[in-house]
Amino acid sequence: MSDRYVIHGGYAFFPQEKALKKVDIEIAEGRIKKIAATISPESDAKAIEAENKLISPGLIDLHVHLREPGREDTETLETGAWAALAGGFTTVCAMPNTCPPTDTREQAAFISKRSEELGLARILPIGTVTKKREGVEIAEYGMLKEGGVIAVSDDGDWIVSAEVMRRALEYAGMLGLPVITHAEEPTMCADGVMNESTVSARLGLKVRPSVAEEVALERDIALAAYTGSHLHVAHLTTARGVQLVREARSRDVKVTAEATPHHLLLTDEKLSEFDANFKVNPPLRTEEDRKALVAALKDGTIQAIATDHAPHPLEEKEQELDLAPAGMIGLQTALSVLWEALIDTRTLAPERLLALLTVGPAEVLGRKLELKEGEPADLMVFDPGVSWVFDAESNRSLSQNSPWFGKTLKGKVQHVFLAEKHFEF
Amino acid sequence: MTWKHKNLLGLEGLAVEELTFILDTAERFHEVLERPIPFVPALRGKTILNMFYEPSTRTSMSFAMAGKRLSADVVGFSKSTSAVQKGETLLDTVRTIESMRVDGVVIRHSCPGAARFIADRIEAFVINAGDGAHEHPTQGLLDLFSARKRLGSLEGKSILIVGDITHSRVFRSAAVGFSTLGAKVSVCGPPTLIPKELGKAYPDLEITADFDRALEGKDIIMMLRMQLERQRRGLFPSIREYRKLYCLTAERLKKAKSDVVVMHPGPMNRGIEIEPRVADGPHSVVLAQVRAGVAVRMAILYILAGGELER
Repeated sequence: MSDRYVIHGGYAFFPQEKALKKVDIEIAEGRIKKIAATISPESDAKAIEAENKLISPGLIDLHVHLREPGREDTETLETGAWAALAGGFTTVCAMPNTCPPTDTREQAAFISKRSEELGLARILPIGTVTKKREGVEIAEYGMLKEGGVIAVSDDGDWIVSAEVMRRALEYAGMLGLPVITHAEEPTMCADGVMNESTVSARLGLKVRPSVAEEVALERDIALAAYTGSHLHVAHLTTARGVQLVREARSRDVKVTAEATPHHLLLTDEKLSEFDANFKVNPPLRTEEDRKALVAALKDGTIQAIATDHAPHPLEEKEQELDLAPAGMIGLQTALSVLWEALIDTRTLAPERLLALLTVGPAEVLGRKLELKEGEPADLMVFDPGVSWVFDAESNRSLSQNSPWFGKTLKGKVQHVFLAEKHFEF
Repeated sequence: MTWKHKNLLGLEGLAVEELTFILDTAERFHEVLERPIPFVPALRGKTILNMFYEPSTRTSMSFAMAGKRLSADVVGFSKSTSAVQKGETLLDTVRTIESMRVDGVVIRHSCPGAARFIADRIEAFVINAGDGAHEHPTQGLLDLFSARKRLGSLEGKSILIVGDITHSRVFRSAAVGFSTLGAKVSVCGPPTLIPKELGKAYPDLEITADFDRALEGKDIIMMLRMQLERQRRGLFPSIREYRKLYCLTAERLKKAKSDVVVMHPGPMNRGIEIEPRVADGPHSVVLAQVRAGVAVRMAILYILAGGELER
């Protein structure tokens, strides 16, 4: 394979300026050699035609569940990393609710090392907030950090004890690690399968009300303000939650937030058919909430879009709604469904969407991101005009629990450049 | 009329003519039940499977009897919910049924959407005999049947449904059925037992906590069974307080119309949501509801199985 490439005629996203420019990009030996209006083709360089396509730094996903170790039947670090690449993601942050959980340096180092061996999308481990995710004693963040951990979270569960959360924020803050909160007060959500709304009132399904997010967020934000530490809000879902984050940020509380493609695009009406592919925690909310999330993407209240890629096997999903596990996969479909729903409809500027998937999450992790000559080539090429079917053949994940499974999607990632490698999809 | 639905999963979405057609068909079977030999050969050769994943006496007996009165072969099984969670999945059960080639399936299950889950996956017709707190359409039909028998048309009549609205499939089917047939539906109970967005979900519904006021001028009072488990979850403080606020006593009943009809889906908690002398009094149609249940279930089995009715 040639190790020299010239990408011609595409619109490249420059995160440092948050702008799109039509340029040619030359890649040599895994680095960006040249960026110019036109680069004349060289005989030994492979030309990649990118007319009407987008070139962006590789996408970053702050929130995925890769299930290894423990549930390798539903996803492995390898299959998850492939699904990431096929979706344009070159960096993913793996939540620690595996079995065993990522609560020690050894567990974190296992993921970091495996990620290096694979040489696919980079997998950055997230450590637990508490040992065994029990919500009682804080984990060894110092040692976890040595194992490669970039943040801590007991995602899936909220830290019920305010004292534990306070100390977690203080201790993680000392090490510069964000604490990621799954903001749902659990006593209000017992056995709940969907949002509390007109839809749940008609269907008789047990609920996880939006106020559970508010209650949890109010406390977490108070503790972030009190400790001065960085709180990152996973999968924000409610209009009121958006207001709380916006207000806290205006007071310079160190709060950042992410939203998922499914909460940005789908509402609780989808539960009317009792299809477990729409069962997710936190649940899909109302149209009003969805609109508030989109508005929060625009005004900067939300800094990142994260997939919350959560693989579950078909046999567990194809059950009564009460019994099916919550979650959906999203790595491979995120950019396609977001582009069609938000960019094709001119709801959001393409620069903003790309920022939310690159520089936004990078900044949550305290990293800078630039597209410039001399940097390692960490890029993807996306054609927004191409249609493809997300099915058993194209799916790279071991699981298929997605509402978009079997559907024709518009917009496809075609090339990824990462660490001297070129992947073509 | 030609019936165009494969299943009966709920009363939501059924048109006035469709509800009336079922009720009119049930009238004919109600007469059959009065005969010395209350059988018709309408479903001879058809097999109906009754699957009860939740404890039930009256509904399961009623369906079994309805099937037998129509000369169908009725096969049944019951299973506790906990056993279901440990054992065979519903999907495997569905495949088993498919391979046995039954004509119709009646299912009672604790999870909303369970009947729909089966109906989407088999060719046999499916009747929902109660799916969690979602719907219980044959109960709704027998309530409509009993009320209509007593009051004639339901157009312009008022019904008050009292008690645990949140967890009640009986409420959900009745609310849709009665309002489709032109009745004004009101509910009454403490806010802890009424879904928060109920008023927006059913815009014509009147919602109140004051039982005494709500009774005024009502044609039908439907009392729901109060489940003791709700107390442990903090949804109401005690039986004695519930009784004080929401028990239908003879004294309270005076506030309703003089010819008011009192209904209860059963099983009753005598002395908790309903005073025994009201339950057994002249306004009560509780036992008539049970007989109506058999007739209504015969009607829907007959309609869905496409059977022939003898003259």
